[in-house]
Amino acid sequence: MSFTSINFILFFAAFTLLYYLVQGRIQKYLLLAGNYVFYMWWKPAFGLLIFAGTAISYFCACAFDRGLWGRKKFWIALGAVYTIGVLFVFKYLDFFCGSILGLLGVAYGHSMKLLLPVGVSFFTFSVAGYLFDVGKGKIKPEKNFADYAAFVSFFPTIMAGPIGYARNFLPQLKTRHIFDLERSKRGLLRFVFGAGEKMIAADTMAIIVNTVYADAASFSNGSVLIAAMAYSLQIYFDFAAYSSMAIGAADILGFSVMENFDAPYLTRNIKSFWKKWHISLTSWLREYIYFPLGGSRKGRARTYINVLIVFGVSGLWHGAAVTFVIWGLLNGLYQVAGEITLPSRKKLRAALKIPEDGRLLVLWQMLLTFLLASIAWIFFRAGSVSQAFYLVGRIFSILTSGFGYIDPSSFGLMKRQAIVLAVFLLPYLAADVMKALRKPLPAFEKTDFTYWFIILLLMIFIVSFGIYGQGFDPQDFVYFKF
Amino acid sequence: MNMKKLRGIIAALLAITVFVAYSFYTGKLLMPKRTEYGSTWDSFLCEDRNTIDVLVCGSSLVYCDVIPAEIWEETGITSYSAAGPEQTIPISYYCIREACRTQTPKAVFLEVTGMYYDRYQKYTKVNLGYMPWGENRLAATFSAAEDREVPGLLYPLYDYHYRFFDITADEIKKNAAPDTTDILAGYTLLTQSNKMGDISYKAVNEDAGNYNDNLQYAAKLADFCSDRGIKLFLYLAPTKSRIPAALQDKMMDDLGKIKGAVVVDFNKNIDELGIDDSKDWYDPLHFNLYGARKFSSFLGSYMLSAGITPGGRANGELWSERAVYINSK
Repeated sequence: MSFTSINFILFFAAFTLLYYLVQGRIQKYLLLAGNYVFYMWWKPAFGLLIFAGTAISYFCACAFDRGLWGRKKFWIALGAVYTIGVLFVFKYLDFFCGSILGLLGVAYGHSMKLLLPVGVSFFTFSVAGYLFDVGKGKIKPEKNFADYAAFVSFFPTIMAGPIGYARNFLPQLKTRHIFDLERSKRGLLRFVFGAGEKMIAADTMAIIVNTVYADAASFSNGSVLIAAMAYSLQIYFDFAAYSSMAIGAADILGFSVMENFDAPYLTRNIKSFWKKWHISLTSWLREYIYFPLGGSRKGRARTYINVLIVFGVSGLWHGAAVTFVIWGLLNGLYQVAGEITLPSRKKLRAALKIPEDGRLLVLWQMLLTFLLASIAWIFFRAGSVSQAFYLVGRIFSILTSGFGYIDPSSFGLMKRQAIVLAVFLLPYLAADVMKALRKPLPAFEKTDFTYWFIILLLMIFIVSFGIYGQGFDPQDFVYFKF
Repeated sequence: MNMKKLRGIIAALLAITVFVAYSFYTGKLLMPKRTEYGSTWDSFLCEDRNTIDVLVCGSSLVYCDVIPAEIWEETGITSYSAAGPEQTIPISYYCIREACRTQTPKAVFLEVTGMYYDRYQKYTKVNLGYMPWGENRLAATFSAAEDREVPGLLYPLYDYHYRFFDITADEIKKNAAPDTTDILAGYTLLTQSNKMGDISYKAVNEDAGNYNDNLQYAAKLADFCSDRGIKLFLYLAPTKSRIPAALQDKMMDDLGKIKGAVVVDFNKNIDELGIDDSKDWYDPLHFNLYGARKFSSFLGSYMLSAGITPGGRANGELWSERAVYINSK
């Protein structure tokens, strides 16, 4: 069920009502049942997949704790191998077979065409993170199987994150959740805010992107650049929307899950960008890959290699294709290049008497970061490496051939649609600016008429201008593919 | 209950009310106005209550063939072509039920070529989307519409919100303007002539489940009419492209077993109509204006012979206007 579908609205409304009506431990079991109904709605057989992963990782953590057969680390390794093995089989086996055989000059004509379980990358990392935490002694293994199963399958976050950390989530399952009106109002506002972000901002941007990417050769260099930037905004709004809706839904049920975005496009460099984009994933990679590799503790060269490895893994996590690996490595290279050139750039600015926190510099750095990220996103979106390099080449040829003619009517948007989009983006931009300036967002849930007025306005915008219904092509959430 | 809670409830209820009202009126404003080719509910509801003697219902075989003004001029009987494009029997059932909320006809004529239609034809959204809100529309939506149409039928903005981006000021004015009676009383005027040859037989949906469903709805209609003292006529319109004879015979037999329904095949009267194959057809299924005049005149006579008499409730001025209009074409 997509969060923006009628099925989900009806399911969530009915589930929430029941959730707060039931007493004691029944609430937890109801949550578990709801999780599985949600996930199996898409494909019942994959409920078995989640259950198997849950049972095996639960057993391995408990076996580690007890030192079963005189072994401890073995059980963590076994659980991790199984968990990541499932991810590998469903997501990467075809890719690796094709790549290895390709290197050997052998054609790979037997694609297994395994259907990728939605959210497999997300819950795999949640489970693996739990096992690693248990193995390092950061948390005790969860003895209550229902609690652990509810954590793994938590429906607001299972499809596309934020990636759950057991140490933060499991304690929240220990008490019955009582209905909290202000919290629920906050959650509802967050959910509706996210729905607007997805159905208007992201899906309208997608029209521009799809139009240009379908036939880039017939667009000018400037139009290709606009499409690349539009994709940067599309993927941000799309993923941030899902996260907002997941966090909002979790809030309504009385659960706190981590924020996933913190105004990433209003950052001054790629390093900061990655601290504010898909925070749950970057935190996971930092904690379970970067730090175990030595982090920044083994000299500069090793630090740079570790950064490249982490970003390579990040690229691969996103998809089993060379384009994703290039995207990841490119971001890693940005970061490494940024670190290497930082001293000389600082010296240059000092020599030119440019204040380090001057407004113009900050704006320039934000623009450059956005452009660098946009160029990297081209590899993320493109259908092939050659298409990606072609588009990047078109953008760089602006320097020699100029922008060319940009026809606003050629992007696939109707004039009024473009105006609506521009107007609708303003509150989201304002929210990001406030986050970037570390100013708290207004607590609308504490008011009555203002709160409901905002909900009403958002709903009116969504039903009037959202991409949904017949005659439109609503996009799946981008991160569902992962 | 304290003031804060009460304020919260009032604010929530106000927001919900405004949202529902906005959705309703905006949906109505954005839906393209229909003034011909059937499903013209807005105009039908402008008819004075309880002035229609006969409802003629069904598909385009009704709104292309039956000229209510012609019937009135010949017999004084007021009628209305309450039909829709490829309207299925189940939808016709709900259509008649809904029409009887504002009218008390003496008879209902249902054209039954739809007995062999697919369960869902192409125009569900058109046939149900303009039906007034109420239990009949809801029942029809859940029992006679395909799943993918249900969201749009329950919430018209689902299907029509995209029109925000291209609707013109003229269209808005047209949609917002008050509804008026239809000068043609549901008839769609076709003047083009196409020469017709021999009778042909078309492939139809012979799915037994589908057919039996349609039969059930025809029986439900008979019960509905019987409860209200309405005479029910199940008829086949004269056409050049017909249901295969064996299937048609079976259909007429089955319909004939429905208690309280009179079953008639007007194909048998085609010679009586004096149809000129070179001038009176629009296509193998539909008469044009000239053919429809002849058929309507005949139908009017048939109604009289079947014991249907003018109700004397008609708005004489309106019907005279209708007669003058159609005679001018």
